[in-house]
Amino acid sequence: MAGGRQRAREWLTWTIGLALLVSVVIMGLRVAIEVGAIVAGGFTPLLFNLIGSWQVVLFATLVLALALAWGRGDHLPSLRAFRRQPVRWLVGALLLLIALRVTRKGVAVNSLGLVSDAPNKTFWMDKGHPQRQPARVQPNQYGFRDSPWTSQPALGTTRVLLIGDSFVYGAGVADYEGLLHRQLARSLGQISPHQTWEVLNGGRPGWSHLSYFDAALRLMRELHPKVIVIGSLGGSDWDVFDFQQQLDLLGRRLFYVAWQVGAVTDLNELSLRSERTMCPAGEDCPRMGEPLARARLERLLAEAAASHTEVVVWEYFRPISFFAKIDAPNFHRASWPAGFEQWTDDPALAIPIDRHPTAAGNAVIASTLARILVRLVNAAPTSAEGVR
Amino acid sequence: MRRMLRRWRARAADATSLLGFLAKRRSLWLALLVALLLLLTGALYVVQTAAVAPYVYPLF
Repeated sequence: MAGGRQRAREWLTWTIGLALLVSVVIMGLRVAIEVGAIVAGGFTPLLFNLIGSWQVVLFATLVLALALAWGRGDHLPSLRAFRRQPVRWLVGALLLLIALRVTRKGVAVNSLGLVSDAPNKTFWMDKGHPQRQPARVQPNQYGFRDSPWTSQPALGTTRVLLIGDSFVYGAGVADYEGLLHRQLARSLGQISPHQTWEVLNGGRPGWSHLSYFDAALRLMRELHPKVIVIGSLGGSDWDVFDFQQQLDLLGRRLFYVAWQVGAVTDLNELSLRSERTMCPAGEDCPRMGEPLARARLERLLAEAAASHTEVVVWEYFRPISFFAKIDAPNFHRASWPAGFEQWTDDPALAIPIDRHPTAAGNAVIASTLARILVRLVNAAPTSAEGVR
Repeated sequence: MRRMLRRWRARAADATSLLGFLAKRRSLWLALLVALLLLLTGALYVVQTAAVAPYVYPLF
């Protein structure tokens, strides 16, 4: 009986010791990737925010606990005791697998290196909230929430490419016809029936300005739109570590490791939180990612000018000074007519919990945007091959 | 004067026994420190995750 109790105690100390060891390794890897990404991205002010984060405090605690267990001697037996103990190896491997969270789904990436939707995706934001419904998403060949895209628009068709985050993706809309790109196509057809319009949905939840300009460039080269519309949320779009930025910075393999150990979510949350600390939401103050964003936008505008493409930024909320400083003939700013900036206060137009537009909200945005686009397209010089 | 000295010695003895008590249970205090740090981690996790919860989307 005493032997059985002693064996049980030994098992318990082994399991706790192993769990500690594995946790220290995983948390160490997680924090190391985060520090590496911050330094590699050149966003060193974020290092100070990282020090006070729960991840770093947890890592320090686990190291202390491991040192304590080892110091006691009887908590962690020497590795020699591991020999000829296959069951202990199995328990160790199992703990490692749980810690690595190998059950996490991999990340879908399309042919352009952009984060994509996996086929038959169910998008369910704020699961369980009464105003939220799950949306069945059938992504196209590029992994976007749209019908399949052709490389070139049909002759005589004006192609409009929408770029944005969850607002453009349609996080608040379960019905496909209620999405912004579908409603915009209908509004454009009503306002200018003699033209053929095609609107593409290039929205990806979580993207920020840095990803908008980069993704717009990649999609423009592939899809040859006449107009690119970038839906900006202003002050909420300045996190420098959205998922796309991390994928580009770390590369696919390291991004997968970072995703498995939790560093991707950490970096995303860290950059979002830090932006809010440095510059409170709703205020228009200098942001960490601005110089890089400006360089990317200017590159996009230069390449767009060469292919006679107009770039429009649609500001969902109060216009920000960043866009006011951009000066290029093919760059245009668009927002609400005066007096309509408070559209998110209307629960019919925006979901109160997070301000995402409803299908009715998208309809209002689409009709406002359509008027601006028709004016712009009919005023702009056409390319050598005619109206696309 | 002698009484003061005796009192002071008594206090010193108290402090010595307290230090001895602490030293004897060093692992216990360190374990308590670890537990407190884990609590701090939990509190930081709740506060820091809640601060950005509306802006983090189910991506994959």
